[in-house]
Amino acid sequence: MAKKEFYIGWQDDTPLGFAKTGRKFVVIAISIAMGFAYFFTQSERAFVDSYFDYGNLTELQGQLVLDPVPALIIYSDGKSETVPLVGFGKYGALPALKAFEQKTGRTLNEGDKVTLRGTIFTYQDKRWMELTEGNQSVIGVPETSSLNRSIQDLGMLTLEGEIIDPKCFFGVMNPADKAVHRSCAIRCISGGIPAILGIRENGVFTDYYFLLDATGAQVGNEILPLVGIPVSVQGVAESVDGWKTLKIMPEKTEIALALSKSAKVCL
Amino acid sequence: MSVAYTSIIWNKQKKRYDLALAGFVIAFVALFFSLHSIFHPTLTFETVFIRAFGWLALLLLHVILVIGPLSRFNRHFLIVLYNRRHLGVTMFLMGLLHGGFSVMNFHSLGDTNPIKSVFLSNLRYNSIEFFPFQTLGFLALVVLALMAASSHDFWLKNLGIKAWKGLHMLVYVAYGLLLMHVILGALQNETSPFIYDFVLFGFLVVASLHIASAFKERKADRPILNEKKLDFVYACDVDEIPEDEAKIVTVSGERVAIFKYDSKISAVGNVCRHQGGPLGEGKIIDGCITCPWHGYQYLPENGQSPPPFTEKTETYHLKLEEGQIFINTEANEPGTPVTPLSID
Repeated sequence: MAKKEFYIGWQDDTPLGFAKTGRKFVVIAISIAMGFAYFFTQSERAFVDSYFDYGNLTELQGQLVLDPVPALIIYSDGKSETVPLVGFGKYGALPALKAFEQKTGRTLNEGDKVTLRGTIFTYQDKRWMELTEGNQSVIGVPETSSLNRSIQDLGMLTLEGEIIDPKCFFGVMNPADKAVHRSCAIRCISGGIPAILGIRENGVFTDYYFLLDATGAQVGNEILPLVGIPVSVQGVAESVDGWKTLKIMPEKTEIALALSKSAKVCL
Repeated sequence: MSVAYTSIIWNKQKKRYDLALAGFVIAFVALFFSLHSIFHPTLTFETVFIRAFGWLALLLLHVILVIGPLSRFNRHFLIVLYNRRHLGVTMFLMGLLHGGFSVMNFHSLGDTNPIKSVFLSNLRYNSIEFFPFQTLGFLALVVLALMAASSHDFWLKNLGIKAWKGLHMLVYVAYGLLLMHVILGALQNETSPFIYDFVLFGFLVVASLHIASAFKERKADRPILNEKKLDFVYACDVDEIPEDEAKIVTVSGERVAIFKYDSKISAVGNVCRHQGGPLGEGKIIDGCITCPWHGYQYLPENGQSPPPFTEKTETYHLKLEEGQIFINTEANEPGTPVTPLSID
């Protein structure tokens, strides 16, 4: 009868049967892991074609807008483009602009002609700018100027979508919606990045509304419990400088923010 | 255990094991990044990094969890079990890369402390669908950190085998937390059945192997009844024990290994003092009982590790009557010398 093999780890030699099993195990484990990597890559939900120009600073010239959200309106070839602004990290643009005011003693006003330097991120036809350098993001001396706003009433709407943080969604992170991104979106909106209601069509976001309160100010902490989950929101919609806004009436906030049937939770 | 503190006592097998492990990790990460750069070129580095190390940690955890039961069915898998601690520490490090980078990515540079943010950003603890799944991953990582930090023999010796083993059984708690972390997090983002099925398949493999090996153990674990409260009870026949090996019996609720070697028989407690390996599944080598898990050795006549080592296991008095072995129902103190019975 053949002698039964016995494996001792601290001995140099490995019995043949054990060595064979060890090799087979490694081959099978690697095959499963590699197979998983391949099929996982093929099965992942499609990613949006967004882009964050990380590491590169771009200068843009235009008119500063502070209401309803900080933005820069750029004019080129008779057309205008509104580039919303955000701050570095998970903050809105206002702290950077305030810091500039404190540093220079110059108050920034709606319509001021300014040159801003920051990092561009973009998705679809929409560009955003991160004021990466904080109070040094405003280049040169702002010039006072009048501003012509393009505002159009879109009426009362009830919309179903997901509240997202636009900084991550429009390029800084990918993906930037649903469960994996919920906490990050909450942090971003809590930090002053304007909340956006993204509307999906066939699973892909195609339309966006800045969420405002009845006074036209951007909503913040009051909608944090509803970020990153399917919501049904009612409000008065406007088109403002090429972007859409949705004013939620404070007295109807609960009704306006009633959740869709797939999210039976309360504010 | 080593007689003096040494970080790692390297040997040829451990080096081979760690090389294979490093190759596995590098190959997986390289392939994961390459495939994403080909099929999802717009994807950010952070997302690929988080996904690569998260899935790698989960895969390694499955490997860790299946080795034990597999070794119950086929001793040859003991070669994979031998250095499982390095596998565990590697898995923790992969999880730490995933978790650390996720906290940095999703929770830092904001208006709240990043660790607080993990627990306080999403407060839907009363919802299954929108549960703050990151907290589950965080807690699992804490458990795995405790296990990785205490994996060295230094802690085994200082905590004692029962406490150490108890601590390391928390791997099942960590596994449960991580499964829920994945199900309530990553899977909520996906639509393909493949990823769901893969996670389910992994769970079924782990669960079924554990259940099957538990049944196997239970079948083998037949306690000797001692209704008459005798000092000595029948254990087995001498012929049932292969030369240089043991028969495991359960006496007074404890497993005992009765070894036959050099025309003698001796009985010792079945539990190795190193990591609780089954001494009765070991072998007599160079006159010593040798544990099948990590090769720790004990002298059969006194249950003591040969000098300079200091481990001791219980011994038992035996009686031999016409080829039948009777065992004392009371164990001797660990390391008590007992003259082996001659079977000639």
